[in-house]
Amino acid sequence: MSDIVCSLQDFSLQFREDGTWYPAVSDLNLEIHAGEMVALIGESGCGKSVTALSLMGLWPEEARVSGSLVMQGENLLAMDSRRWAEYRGSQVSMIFQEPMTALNPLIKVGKQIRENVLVHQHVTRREAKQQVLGMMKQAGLPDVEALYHCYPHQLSGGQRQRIMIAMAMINHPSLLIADEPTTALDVTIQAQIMELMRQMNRELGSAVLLISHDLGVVKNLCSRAYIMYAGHVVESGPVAELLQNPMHPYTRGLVAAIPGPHCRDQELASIPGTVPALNARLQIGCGFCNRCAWKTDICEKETPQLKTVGNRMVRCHRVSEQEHGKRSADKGEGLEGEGQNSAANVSDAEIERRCVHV
Amino acid sequence: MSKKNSSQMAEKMEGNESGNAETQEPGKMAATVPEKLITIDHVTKIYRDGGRSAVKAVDDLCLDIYKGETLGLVGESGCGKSTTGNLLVRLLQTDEGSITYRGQDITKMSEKQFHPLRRNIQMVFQDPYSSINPKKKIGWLLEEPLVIHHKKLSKEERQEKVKEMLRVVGLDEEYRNRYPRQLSGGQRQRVSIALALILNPAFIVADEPVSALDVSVQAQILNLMKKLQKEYSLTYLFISHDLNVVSYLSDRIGVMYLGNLVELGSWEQVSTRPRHPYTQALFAAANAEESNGTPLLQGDVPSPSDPPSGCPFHTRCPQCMERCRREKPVLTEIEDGWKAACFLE
Repeated sequence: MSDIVCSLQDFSLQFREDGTWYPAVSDLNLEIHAGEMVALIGESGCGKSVTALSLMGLWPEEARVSGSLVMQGENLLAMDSRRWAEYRGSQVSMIFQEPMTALNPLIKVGKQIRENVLVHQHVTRREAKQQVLGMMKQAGLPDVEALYHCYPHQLSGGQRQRIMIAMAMINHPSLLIADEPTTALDVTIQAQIMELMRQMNRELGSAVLLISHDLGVVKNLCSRAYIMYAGHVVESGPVAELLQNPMHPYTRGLVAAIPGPHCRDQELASIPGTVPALNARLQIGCGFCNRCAWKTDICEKETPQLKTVGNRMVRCHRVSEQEHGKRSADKGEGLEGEGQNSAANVSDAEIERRCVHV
Repeated sequence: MSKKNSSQMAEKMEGNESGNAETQEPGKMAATVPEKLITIDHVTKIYRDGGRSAVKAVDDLCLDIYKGETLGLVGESGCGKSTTGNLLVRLLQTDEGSITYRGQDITKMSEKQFHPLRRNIQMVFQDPYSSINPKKKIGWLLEEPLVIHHKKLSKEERQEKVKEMLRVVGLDEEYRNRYPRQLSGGQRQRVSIALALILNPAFIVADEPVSALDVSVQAQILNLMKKLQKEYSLTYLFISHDLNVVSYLSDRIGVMYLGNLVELGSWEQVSTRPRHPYTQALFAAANAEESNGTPLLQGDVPSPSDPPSGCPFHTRCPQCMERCRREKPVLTEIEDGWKAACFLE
């Protein structure tokens, strides 16, 4: 757990709209250790996918990138296109949400996987094919000899995603980025793919960065998670703790908003409003403050910094070590006045109770 | 809107045998025997591809929907749940069987005969980005159903109703003058709900209404749907693949697999004590942590154009027997109102 595979420091990415630069990701700090499974969670537009793409060097051309992206000691921002080509697919690879659009529909799937071997390893075609067949088998595909000669449209959604995973893992990358890998799949297939990712992580030792909006998926797979909101990491820490005792008001809202049989008789806690558009985001102050029930004057005036609380990091003016200690001491009391105005009138004690069920 | 105005409007909008006029007290309803609002009787829908292949999307489906309830319909893609929803609002025609709404068979009606019923049976679609006409303002969109179904209403009355509806779904009146592209996903879904609700329907088919939305917005829409159901005594058919959402909202849950209803029961029966092996696997996959005992399902859903013989689930069933390969189990009652289609019962 000691050696760091990937580290992002003060990473920012900005887009220009009507002559002004707007930050899609700001001051992101993220670390992934060897063999670790880490999640990056957030709603659409929070900057999670663009962060993942940046790790592959796929940020949009018109974007402005700053900070540092270090992968196994190498600064990614200083790499030229030739080095990027070597790097992609061998050191880091990525699987996408929709396997049908990620695969080339005109090339047989076996050949598509083999290409990745031939580009990065000095092997003969026959050896490459043997590797591909072995990896396809390892990815849980049946009858690999026949499937090798199939086109993507001949496969089911689950099989296509297995092909994607086989393609991503064939060069034993040190980091696998999975951007919503199961969102397009059915529940039972989703469970299979999750199990496969866990197995690949165990057998090949690649670290995994899972991008997701689904807390349920993350819970079963990852050890640590970063929660993003409007371009900022608002909270990070071990997944189990994040879910059981979320500190940031946004995380609390997210956790409490998960429906289920345990809260049938009550209204769901929801976060009022929506994620602000890129050009409507506050430049100063907390990005969440216009939806936050804990908001005070300082939230509008000052951008909160990430604070360390226990083994977690939280970006909120109103969460501090002392208050957290107090809160765990007498659960239900919470921050002063919070019971009356917390998100969607669900009391703090209620959120706490629901968190246990997640 | 003044009180006088609203009562006048209510008069004009009559002939719309709306659900809320009769059932003022939902509490009372629960005590009496539930009234069947919709009966689906041996309905089959086949999609044909120019005579070359045929896909049985819905296969001999029998289902009752009771007044005031939320019936959740779950299943994986291609299981026929959306087709069922579309058949109920007559976006599709049945091939066999009948669908009865309050004693009237809607499958045998002409479009003209069905027209007055349409206002009672409405639909909310999955994707609020593609289900609303992007070229019209929200006010125009909401007014259109009133123009079609309530010709007696004056323009002012229609606009009053539009404003009222926007308030009901939690949007500002000012949204009348906006275009759909100026709204967020959650706001658009609120407009879709207002569109479905403006004719005072008794029954709403909601086809994956929250799956295109973010978690925090999803909770807002679910709360809204629950509130509206109480206020307007609505009956919902709630189609979803998300088991958490379904077990939060539904009174009863139906589970579909390859066009067949494999289990039907109260939400408690189906979600906590599932009997059909497929339902068990489905809920186990959703709560991976608590299901250490139940093995993951192997393989894929077979193609609906080439369904397996016998029980449609036998190719993936961990408890498959010889008989399952030959014979197709029918939906049989386990307990009062709880049914499953499996030979193990």
